[in-house]
Amino acid sequence: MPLAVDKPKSLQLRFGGYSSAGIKPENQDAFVAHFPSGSAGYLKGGVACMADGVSCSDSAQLASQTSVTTFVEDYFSTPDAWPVKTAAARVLSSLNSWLYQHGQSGSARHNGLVTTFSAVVFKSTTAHILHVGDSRLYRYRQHSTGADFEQLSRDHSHQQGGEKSFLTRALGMDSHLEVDYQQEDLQKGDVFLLSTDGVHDVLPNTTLKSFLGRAHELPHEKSQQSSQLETLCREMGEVALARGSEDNISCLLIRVVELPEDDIDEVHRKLSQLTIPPALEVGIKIDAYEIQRVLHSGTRSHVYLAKDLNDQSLCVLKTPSENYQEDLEFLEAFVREQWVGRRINHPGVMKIINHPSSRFMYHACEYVEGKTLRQWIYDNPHPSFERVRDITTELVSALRAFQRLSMVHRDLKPENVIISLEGSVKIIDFGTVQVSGLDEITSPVSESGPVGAVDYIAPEYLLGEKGQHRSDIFSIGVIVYEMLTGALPYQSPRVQRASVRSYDIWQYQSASSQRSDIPTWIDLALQKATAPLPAQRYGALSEFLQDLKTPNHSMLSQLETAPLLERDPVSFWKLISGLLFVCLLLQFYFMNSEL
Amino acid sequence: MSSVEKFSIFSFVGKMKVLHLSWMAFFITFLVWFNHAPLLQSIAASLGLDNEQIKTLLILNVALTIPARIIIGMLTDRFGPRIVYSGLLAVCSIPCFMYAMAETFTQAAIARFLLGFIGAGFVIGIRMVSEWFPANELGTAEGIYGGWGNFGSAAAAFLLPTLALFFGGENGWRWAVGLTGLLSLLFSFVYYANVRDTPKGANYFKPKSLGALEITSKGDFFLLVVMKVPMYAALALLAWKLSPSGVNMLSGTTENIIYVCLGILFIYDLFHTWKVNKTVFEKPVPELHRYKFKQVAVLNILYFATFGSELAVISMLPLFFADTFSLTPIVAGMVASAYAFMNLMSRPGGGWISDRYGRKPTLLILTGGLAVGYFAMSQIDSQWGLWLAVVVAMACSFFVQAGEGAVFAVVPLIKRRLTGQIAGMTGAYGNVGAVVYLTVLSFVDYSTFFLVIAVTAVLGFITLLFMEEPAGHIAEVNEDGSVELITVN
Repeated sequence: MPLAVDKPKSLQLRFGGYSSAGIKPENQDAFVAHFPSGSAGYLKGGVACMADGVSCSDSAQLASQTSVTTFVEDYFSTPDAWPVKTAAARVLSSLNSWLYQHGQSGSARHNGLVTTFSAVVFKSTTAHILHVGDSRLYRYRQHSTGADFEQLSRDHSHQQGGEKSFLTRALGMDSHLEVDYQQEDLQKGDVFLLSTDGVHDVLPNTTLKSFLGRAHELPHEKSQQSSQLETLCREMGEVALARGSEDNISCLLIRVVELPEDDIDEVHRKLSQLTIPPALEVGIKIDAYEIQRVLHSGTRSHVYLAKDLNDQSLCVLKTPSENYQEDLEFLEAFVREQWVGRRINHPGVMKIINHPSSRFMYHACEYVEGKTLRQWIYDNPHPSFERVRDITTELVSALRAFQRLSMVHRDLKPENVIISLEGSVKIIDFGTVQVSGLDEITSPVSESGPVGAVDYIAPEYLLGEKGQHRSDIFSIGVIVYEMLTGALPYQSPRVQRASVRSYDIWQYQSASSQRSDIPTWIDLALQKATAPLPAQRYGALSEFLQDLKTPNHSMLSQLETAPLLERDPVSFWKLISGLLFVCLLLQFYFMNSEL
Repeated sequence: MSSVEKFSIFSFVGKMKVLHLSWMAFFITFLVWFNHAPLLQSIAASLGLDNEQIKTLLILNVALTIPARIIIGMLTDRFGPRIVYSGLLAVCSIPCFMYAMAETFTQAAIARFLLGFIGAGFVIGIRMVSEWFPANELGTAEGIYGGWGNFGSAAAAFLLPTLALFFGGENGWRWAVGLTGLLSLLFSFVYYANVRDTPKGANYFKPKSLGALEITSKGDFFLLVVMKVPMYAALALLAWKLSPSGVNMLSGTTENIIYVCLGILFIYDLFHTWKVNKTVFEKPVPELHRYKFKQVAVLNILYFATFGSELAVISMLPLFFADTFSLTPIVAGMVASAYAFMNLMSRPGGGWISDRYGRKPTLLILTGGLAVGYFAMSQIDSQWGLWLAVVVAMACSFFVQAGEGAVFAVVPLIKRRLTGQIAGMTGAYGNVGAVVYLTVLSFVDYSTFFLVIAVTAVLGFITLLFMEEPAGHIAEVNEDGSVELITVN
């Protein structure tokens, strides 16, 4: 997911559409197509959608027009970090509620605001299809052997008595909405058609196919394509009318002109446009910043306290290590960190300042005076439960800011958390954050292995799975365990280089064995938060917080009724071995006495 | 945020502690590896060795190091430097004790052959240091590690004859050698207890090691294959040396078995190289990943001449001085240690000079210097004053060791991503050089031996002309304290 925006070969789409009332007095169809330029188009893609207001409804036109315009506007207002599916689902469900509420109230009680809705979001090399109702989406694709013409959507209608068909699902019909969602890979030259029943009910597939084939054959002069697509749509509409269409006639053609290309050299050129600064010393000026103090100098990055010479304010500069100047994975993570930092606005997450454009690669971040949680753990070997709970609560609140944006942090550890002088908590490092919305954009750069620190990484990463929200809960669990006891729940260093095949190598060491005043219920909460199997872990941060505050009786009673084998396997096997030993001695004794 | 650790030689905490303990570990490996050199006279007397057998011992000592480097590299990938270094020090104390107790030439030869393993310690520490030091301090840190560690052979030459005399008698050398083994064993525990593989909180996963070196063009594939041949040829040379046609330590059958095994290994190695690199025959490598293998080849040859000759010379120098000037072992050892003594300054110095004056000019001057130096050493005879011979040896060793430093100053610039593998191959060539030079020594007199090294240095000088100065954009700090982009050439 390179964040370099204007690659020479990026996704390019052409749209052309036509809509007419046909023989009806009013046009209740509506369509919108939009493909923003620049980073919005790169991060969110292009959208084409079609709605057909249900004819029996008085406000059909209102319903269809509101749906398409609101969908497009709201979709582009969702956070960039969200994946298409999340963003579209949120928008559609609020749109549905609005239509349903307004349809139920007011004058149009029986008619409601009901409309069919079909949309395609074109992002990177994928088409995300959202569909409800009986408008349709077709795709025309050229192969070496011929051409395919396929209806990608499925009609949500029910034929009654052979004549009239009724919609079974539509936007605004019910408070609960089910939308078909599917993903299709894009190919260069693909042509998509969104149409309403006024078109596809009267035109046979062969006719539609020939129109799409013509759209595919259009010459490559890109500037003319849109108007030519529009002409084709108009022609299609006129044919439909001539064939006796009794409904509104709308169709929208989308042609995929160019797909983004995975070119590793291109990505590298982009990423290396910015130079990695050398290790800086106190007093050195870089752009408008003057280095005041070196805060950290490591094999991966350098961190400095710097003064902004424009306003004399203090900030923190972070630069990647020169060790990584060829490592695209690392450089991209560095750029992504800035991207993430600018999108999260939460007191518990360090802010990344928008610094003026530079030839150098660095972040300017807010300066948080304080110490790392690691230092805090050293300084407080026996902290009160109260203080640990406070820190955990703030940590969880900061982590929720990531979660809301569909981000998984993946590298939570005490070194990445700062306790400020006032005692508040800040997460300071997000180079490893996994962003669902960016993962949807194809990239030649892929991660070569797990990215988190060995002691805090969730086991599923080592078994090759993708990060999920629960993986961060694991890391939080380990951190809380360490805050309370100063030790780690698992002996993990040996997994650093060995390949891992099963979850069995994680054997939880009870927290009360490290610190005797830890009650069983806190131990249980920690064990559940750090369960090796994601499914056995807490699903939500709030549950974990709750169980850290008040004893969870169901978990306690489960423990009490559990067989010894589950509660304390070591004692169980010790007991068994002891019994066997006694048997052996007895046997030996009796055998001897018989002789 | 935590305050940063300064690079301070006299500090013994954090990363500096790791550096100090690592160079000490390396120092001890060198001490053990070359504990025989200054004692050769008494060893020969005690075991009744002839000249031929002494020279065979010298070759055996450096032979196993060539394959051992690969094994040690893999173990370090798998288990981390801390445990591998500790393990190497502990395990290699066993052949050291074996050597101390050897009664026959064969026993001594086997022990010496096994001790070749300890010579592979270098790579472990390089890995360790690179985990702890940021890029801007890495050159200095590795210079200190390599230079001060190499000094171990000087310490051996300086101390062991005195120690042997202190214990006295015919078996004095056994006590001295045994003591180095004991030191190695004890230090393995010290090392294990006091270092960590990574700084706390920086314990990340390592991508799987790639195994074979990647090349990026069809021509380079064949050049790589050609450059692999000497590594196997050196071992074959050794087998031949031990065969009935040489010192008759191995039977003709064993000799042939060794040749077959080396052949199989070579084919396996080629197959592996092919597997990793076959894509270059299908489609061109992206520009980003391209580099020129000839740069590596040139560095290999230079390291052959520099480190190879150093290993060979420190093995024979005490004997050379004793023979030429009829010195006692103690004096010969002390005089010979002058050569390795230069390591303290010249190896880090070579890196520093090439940072300052450009890589290629530095290498040209240093290689030229070492050719002249070895030529001068070939002229040493009993007519010379001892002090003059020592000065010549020290001057020559300056060029040799500064050359080593300068070679390793270029290594990371060829292809950063492959630095580990390029360094590994270059290091192996140092050992190949040692085997070859010591084999040459077993046939010729001292003067010709030095002359041969001088000739290879001239060859190195010629190949160096084909090397391109590593280029690229880097950022530098201006004199007024602001950062600016400059082009280096």
